[in-house]
Amino acid sequence: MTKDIAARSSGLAACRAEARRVRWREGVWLGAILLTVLVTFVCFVVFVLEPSARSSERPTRIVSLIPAVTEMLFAIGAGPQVVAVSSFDHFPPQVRRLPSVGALVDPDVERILSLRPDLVAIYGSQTDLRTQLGRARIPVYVYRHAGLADVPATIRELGARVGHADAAAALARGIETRLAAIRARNAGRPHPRTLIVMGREALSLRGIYASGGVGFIHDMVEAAGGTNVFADVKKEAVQATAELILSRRPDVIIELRADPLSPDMLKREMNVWSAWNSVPAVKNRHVHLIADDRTVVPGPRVAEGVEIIANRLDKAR
Amino acid sequence: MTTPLGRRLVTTVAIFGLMAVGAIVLAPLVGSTSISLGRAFDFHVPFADNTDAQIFFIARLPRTLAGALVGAMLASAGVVLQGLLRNPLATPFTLGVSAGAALGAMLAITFGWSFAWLGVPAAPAASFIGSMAAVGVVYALARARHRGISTNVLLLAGVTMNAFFSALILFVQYFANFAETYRILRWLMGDLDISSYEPLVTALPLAVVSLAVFAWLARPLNLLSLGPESAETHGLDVTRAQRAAFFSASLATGAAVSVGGPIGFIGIIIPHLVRLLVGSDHRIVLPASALFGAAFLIACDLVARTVMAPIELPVGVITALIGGPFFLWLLVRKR
Amino acid sequence: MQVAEGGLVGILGPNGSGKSLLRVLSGTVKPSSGRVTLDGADLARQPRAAIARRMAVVPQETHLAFDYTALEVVLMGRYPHLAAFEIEGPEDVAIAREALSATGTLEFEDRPFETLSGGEKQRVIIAAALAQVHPRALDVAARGSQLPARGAQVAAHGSSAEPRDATCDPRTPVLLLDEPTAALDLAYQLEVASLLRALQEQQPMAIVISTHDLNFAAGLCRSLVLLKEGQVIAAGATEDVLTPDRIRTLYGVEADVHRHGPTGRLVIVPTGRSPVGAKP
Repeated sequence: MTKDIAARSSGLAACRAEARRVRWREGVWLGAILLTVLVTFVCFVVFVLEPSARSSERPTRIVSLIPAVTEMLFAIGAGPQVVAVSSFDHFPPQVRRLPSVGALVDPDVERILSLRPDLVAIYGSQTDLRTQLGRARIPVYVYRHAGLADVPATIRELGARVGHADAAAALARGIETRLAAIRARNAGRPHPRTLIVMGREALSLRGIYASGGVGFIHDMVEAAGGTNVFADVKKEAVQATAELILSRRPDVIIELRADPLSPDMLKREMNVWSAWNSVPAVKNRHVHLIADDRTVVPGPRVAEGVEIIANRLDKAR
Repeated sequence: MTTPLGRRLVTTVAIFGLMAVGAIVLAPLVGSTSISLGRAFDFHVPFADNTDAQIFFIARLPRTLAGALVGAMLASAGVVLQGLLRNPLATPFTLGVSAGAALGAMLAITFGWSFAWLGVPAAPAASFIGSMAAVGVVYALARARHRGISTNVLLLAGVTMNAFFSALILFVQYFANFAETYRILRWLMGDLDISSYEPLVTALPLAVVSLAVFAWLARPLNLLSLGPESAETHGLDVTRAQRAAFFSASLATGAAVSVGGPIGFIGIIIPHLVRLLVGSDHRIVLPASALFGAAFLIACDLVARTVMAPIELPVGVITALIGGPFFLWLLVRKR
Repeated sequence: MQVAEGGLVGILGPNGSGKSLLRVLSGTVKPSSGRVTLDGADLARQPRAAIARRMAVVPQETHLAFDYTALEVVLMGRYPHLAAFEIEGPEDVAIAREALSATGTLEFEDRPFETLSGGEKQRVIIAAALAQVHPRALDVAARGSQLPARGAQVAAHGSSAEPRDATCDPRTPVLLLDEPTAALDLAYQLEVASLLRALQEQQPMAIVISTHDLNFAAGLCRSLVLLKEGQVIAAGATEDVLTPDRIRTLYGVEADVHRHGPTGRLVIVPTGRSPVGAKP
C-alpha cells in the first residue's frame, strides 16, 4: 500500500513539475504579447496622434474655450479659422453650428485632440489642460480674465496670433474711442451710487451677491459713469446682506442677468425690492434688470454693454 | 413645584431663558454699520424714509429671530435624536435630513426654479420638501417587520442617505454655472439673513408642533436611555415614542434648514454643554438646550456679521470654528 | 404551564429559554400560542403602564446611554405612576429613597450610575424595580391590615388550560429578574441573594428569577420551573424537581445533588458530560 502511494506520489510530482513548466511557458508568451501591445500603443499615441508642432503664422484650426475670445475671433475676421467653441458660447450665431468642447471645469480633452487644432485658447487656471496640450505639442493661447482695460489689449494680442493684426487693432481702437466718449460725456455730470447685483435667489432678496471694487463688471459701471457702492471692497464678488445694502443707500440698482425674463416675471422680480423702500434706488424707481450678454461678456461688444448701462444710469443723474 | 426636579427646572429655564431673551434684545443693537437707535424708533419718521429703522427692523431683527428659531430647533432636535439613537454623537443631520434639504435647495438654485409654494420662495420650499423626502425614505428603510423601528437600521439608512444625496448633489453641481455654484456654496454654509418675517411665520407652526412633541418626549427619552426593552417594561410604548422622536426631530431640522441652511455643530455642541451643566434628565435638558441654542446661534451670527465687516463670514464657519476645538476637548477629557 | 404564587420561583433552562420566558411573562414578547394572565386578566389586553405598575423586570445588565445619577435611575421606576406631564412629587422621591435603602445603596443616590461597581449597579436596578411596583401612597395601614399575603397570580396558560380563579392581593408586586448574578462576583452574588430573600420576607412579593446558576437557584428559590425548548419538563418545589435525572435531561450533564448539612440547601456538583445517546 505504501509503495503504491509512493509510486503515485512520485508520478504526481513529475506531473506537477510538468504543469509548472507549461504554466511558465504560457506566462512568458502572455507577457510578450502584452508588452508588444503596450509598446505599439505608446508609439501610436506619440507618433501618429500627436501632430507635429507647426508654428505657422496663421493657425487654421482654432479651438476656443472662452466665449469672449470666440467673439473676438469672429469680430476680427478669424471666424472661418475656428473649428470648435465652448459649451457656453452663443454669439455670433455661427457658433451654434460648431462643435462644443466643454468649458472651464469640464474641457473635453479627447474631443479637443480629435479635432487636431493648431491653437487652443484656454483659461489661465486650466493648468492641467495646458500640460496635456503641451505634451501633444499643440500651441495654446492663455486667456486671463481681468479688467475692462485688458479687453482691447487681448484683442490686439489675439489679432497678432491669428494673423489679423490690422483688423484687431482697428477693433481695439474703436472700443477705446467709444469708451472714452462715454467717459467724456459723463465727466462733469453726477455719478450715481450704483449697486450691481450679479445674482440672488428668485423672487426673494436673499443670497444677493454684488460686484465688489475689483474686476470687469466694476470697471464697466465706473466707465458708464456710476460709482460702485462696494468700490471699497477689494473683491470681485461681495455677499451683500440686507444691512449692508440698506446702509450704503445706492441711488441705482442694476441687476445683471444671463437669461431674459418674461414681462410678467420681470415685473415680479422688480417688485421684490419694494420691501426695502428706504433705499433711494427703490424709492425713486431706479431699479433695472438687464438681461443682455453684452454686459457680462468682456468681448468686442463691451462698449455697447457700457453704453446700455450708461443709458440706465442717465435716468438717475 | 417643590420637588428638587421642579425647582431645578424652574431655575434652569429662568437662567437660560434670560440668556435667550437677552440675546434677542441685545443682538439687533449691534451690527456692521452704526445706526442711531433714537432715530430707528422715531415713529414720526415714515418708515420708507427711515434708513436706521429699516436696518433695525428689516436687516437685524428678523435675522436675530431667525437665529433664535434655528438655534432652538437644531439644538433640541439634536437632543431628541441623541436620545432616540442612544448615542451622544448623533446630530440632527445624521439621518439624512440635511442632505435631502441640500439637494432640494440645489435643484432650485441650479435650475432657477422661481415658483412660490404657499408663499414660500423656491429654494426654502424645495429644501423643506427635499428634507421630508429623505426622512420618508430613511423611515421606510428602517421599519422592521415586527418590532417597530430598529435604531441601528435607522442609523445606517441615514448614513446611506447622506452619502447618496451627496453624490446627487455633486452631480447637480455639474450643471451649475459659476453664479449658481457660488450661491449653492453660500447656502451650504448657512445664512440667517432672511431680511423679512415671512420665513419665520411659515416656519413657526412647524416649530411649535415639534416643540410640543419634544415636551411630551422628555420622559420617554429618559426611559429609552435604559434600552428599548427596559423602557418597555417601564410602561413605555417604545415604537410610538421612537416614531414620535424621529418625525418631530426631522420636522424641526427640516424647518430650521429651510430657514437658515444646514448650520452645523449646533445640534451637537449645545446638548453636550447643557448636559455638562444640568445633568441628563431630558425634562431639563430639552428646554435648556432650546434656549441655550437660540442664544448661542444669535451670538455666533453676531460674530459672523461684525468681525470682518463689511465682509460677512458664513455663520456655519463660526459654529464650526467653535465646534471643532470643543469636540477635541470632549474627546481628550473623556478617557 | 403555570408559574407563580407568592414566593421565589426559579426558571432553569439551556440556551436562553429562561430569558425568553421572562420576556413572554413581562409582556415584551407575545407568546406564539396561549396567553399570559396577571391576576386573571390577560396581559396582552392591559395597557403597558398598568402592567408596569404591577410588574418590574431587572435585566441582566443595564447600560445607560447618558449619565444619570442612581436616584434618577430609581425615579424612572416611578414613571408608570405619573400622568402625562406630571413630575414626580415628594412621595415618589421618598419611595425611591426607601427602595435605595432597602437595597443598601442609599449612599450612592447622587453618584453617576456608570461609576458604580457591577454589584452596586445591580442593586440600584433592583431598587428601581422595587420603586416601580411600589403602590403610590405609602400605605402603612394596609400593610398591617387583615388582607392575607397570598401573593400575586401570574399564570401562563397553554391553549388547553383554563384560567385559574384565584383571590389575590392587588398590591402584591411582581419582580422578574434575568440572570441577576451572571456578571457578579461571589460576594455580590451572596448580597443579591440575601437581598431578595430579605425583600421576600419583609413584604409579599412574587419573584421570578431566570438563571443558569443551579446552586444559586437551589439556595434561593422555593420552587423551580425547568424549561427545555419552550416546553416545561418539570415544575414544583425545589427538592422535588432538582434531581440528577432532570439535570441530565435539561443540560446533558451528569451531576450529584447533595444536601448541605448546616444550611439544609441543595448543592449541585456537576461530574461530567452525559454520553451521547444516554437515556434521560
